[in-house]
Amino acid sequence: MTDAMLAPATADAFRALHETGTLTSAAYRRALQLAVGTPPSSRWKPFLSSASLILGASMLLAGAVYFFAFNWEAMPRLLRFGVLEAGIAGAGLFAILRPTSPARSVALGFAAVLLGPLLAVYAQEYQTGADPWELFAGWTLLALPFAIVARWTPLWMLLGVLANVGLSRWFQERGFDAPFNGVVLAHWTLNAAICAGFAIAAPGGRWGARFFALAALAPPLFLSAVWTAFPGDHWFSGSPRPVLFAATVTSVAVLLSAFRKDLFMLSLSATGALVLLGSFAWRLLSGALSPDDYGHLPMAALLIVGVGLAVWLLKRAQRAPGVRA
Amino acid sequence: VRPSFAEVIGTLSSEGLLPPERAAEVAPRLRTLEVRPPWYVRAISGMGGWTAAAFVGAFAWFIGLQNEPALIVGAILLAVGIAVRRTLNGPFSNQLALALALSGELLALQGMHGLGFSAEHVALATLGVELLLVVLYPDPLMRFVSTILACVAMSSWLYAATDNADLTVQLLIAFASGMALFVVRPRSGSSWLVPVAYGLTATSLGAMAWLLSPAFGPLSLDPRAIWGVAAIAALFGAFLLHEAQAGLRQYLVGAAVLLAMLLLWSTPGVLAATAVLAMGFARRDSKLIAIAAAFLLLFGAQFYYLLDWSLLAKSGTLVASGLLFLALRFYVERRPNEA
Repeated sequence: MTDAMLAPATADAFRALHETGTLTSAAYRRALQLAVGTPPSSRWKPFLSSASLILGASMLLAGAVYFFAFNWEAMPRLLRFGVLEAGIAGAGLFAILRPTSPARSVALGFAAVLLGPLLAVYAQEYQTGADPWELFAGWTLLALPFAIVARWTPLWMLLGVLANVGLSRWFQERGFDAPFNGVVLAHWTLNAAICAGFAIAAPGGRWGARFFALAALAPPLFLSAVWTAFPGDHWFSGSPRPVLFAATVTSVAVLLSAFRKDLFMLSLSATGALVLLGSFAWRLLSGALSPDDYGHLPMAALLIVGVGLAVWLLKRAQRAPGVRA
Repeated sequence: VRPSFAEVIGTLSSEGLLPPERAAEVAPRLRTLEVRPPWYVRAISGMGGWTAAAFVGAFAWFIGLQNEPALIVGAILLAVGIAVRRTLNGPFSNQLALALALSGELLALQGMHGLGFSAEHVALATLGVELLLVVLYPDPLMRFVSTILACVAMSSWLYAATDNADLTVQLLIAFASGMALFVVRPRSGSSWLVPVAYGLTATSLGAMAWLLSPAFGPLSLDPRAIWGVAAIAALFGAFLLHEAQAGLRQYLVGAAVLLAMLLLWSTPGVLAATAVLAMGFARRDSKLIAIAAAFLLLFGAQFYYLLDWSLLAKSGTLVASGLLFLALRFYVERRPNEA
């Protein structure tokens, strides 16, 4: 069986097969029905089951948060802790009693989310004096065992987001006395590490690594592009620009070399390279042409050629064996 | 969500619709077909095209190309862009065509504006150009974006022409039209159908989110919109259940889900996004499912800000709806052979 036959069926391909005479009109109509038609009611069960589970759990969680927001002051201490701990314990117990149920991961995620409000209640009740960043860091660490047991990509992604929020709060509470690009570099390091973790420990879950690769690359790429295209003073000037630029180039190179079988990562790498080269080109063109405005037309031509080349290379990569789109 | 080519071809063979010698041709033919790049590669291409068009537009502006010359040059660029895309099909020619068509459109409309045409006429011209692109420009991304822009132009034209255009009615029409196009998808191989359906759905959900957003001041969604959304969801839901050869029990479950969603009446977007979610599964379309899930999250967050109830009432509503969904799951799981 070839890769092409194992790919998800598409209406476009069946139309092409019909136009070349491989499929008769009747076979074409039936193929469309099978590929994009409504599945029989017996096939709706997994969809209905997971959709109602996720919707139900999310609504319950949001309802619990609103309840606390409503009656925070009037609620006795015991009730505040009791409701949250009962929720965590209930979800944990469900996960223990139903180890093979698909709802187990959602229940563990539910418990992991409730840990945050529990820490907040603890900090408020006992006036621990903890900073918000400590809350997020503690939440991340305490939720870690739940993520390890659940082995559920969305929960790992939540942990990654919590770690980023914690880091961001840490900088905020220090009044951004670190150089602004230092903040970006810190997030770049964190997200690159999370991306590597996803790639190494969970090779099946593509979107975790992809999401954090994008989160790592986008901010330094934007700042590097602005710095390259428009040299001079900026609102983020005075910070270690070369280091930021090096981080961007490193990201582009690592994505290209370490993720050769992942088309999304290759696309990210291509976008990074295009943006950096485009910024350089604009800097050169706007300096060489007089008036500067004449640089717009060659820039448009360069973009057409550059993006065309990137798309051509990516389409070639897509055809290579083993590359995942 | 979607079956593989091998599964579909296997079913066609087993049903006698594809003789063995024809079935053996499929794999080699699939390898020769042009591989359609995934959405993110097409997004890079689209963004590159828009940026190049912006540079062309800026160049035209700085060299003083305005009014009649801008209108004439814009129309020529637009025509050349469409012709290039229809006659050639390669990464470089496609980028060139995209940049030409978009910059041509920008220039022509800017020329019209400079010549003193009214907002009504500029909106009508924009609508015409976008419809032209949907019909003549054979690219799914362009058709998707043009559908969204055509909806915006139509709305602007109605507003300029009547000064009293009801946005709620317009978005309900767009929502119903998008759902209708998804319904006919298995019966039509038309290449424009899917991007237009995506465009209408994204526009209607996006407009709903926009009208519900308190950040946009005087605009607001008519509270009666929930009944329109419920009617559309019920109509298409019933149609999908009919296609799935569902029994009475499944119709009752569908009605129960609809009633549960009506509890969140102040944010009809939740119901609309849930209907799109179901349509995404019915059309085995993971991208549509992802779009619906993203909007569901957005509308859920809006619920917090919009409803003029106490937090306790909001909490009770959410808990009740959540329990209903968990009860639905329990019911579904207890019936191994039925949905």
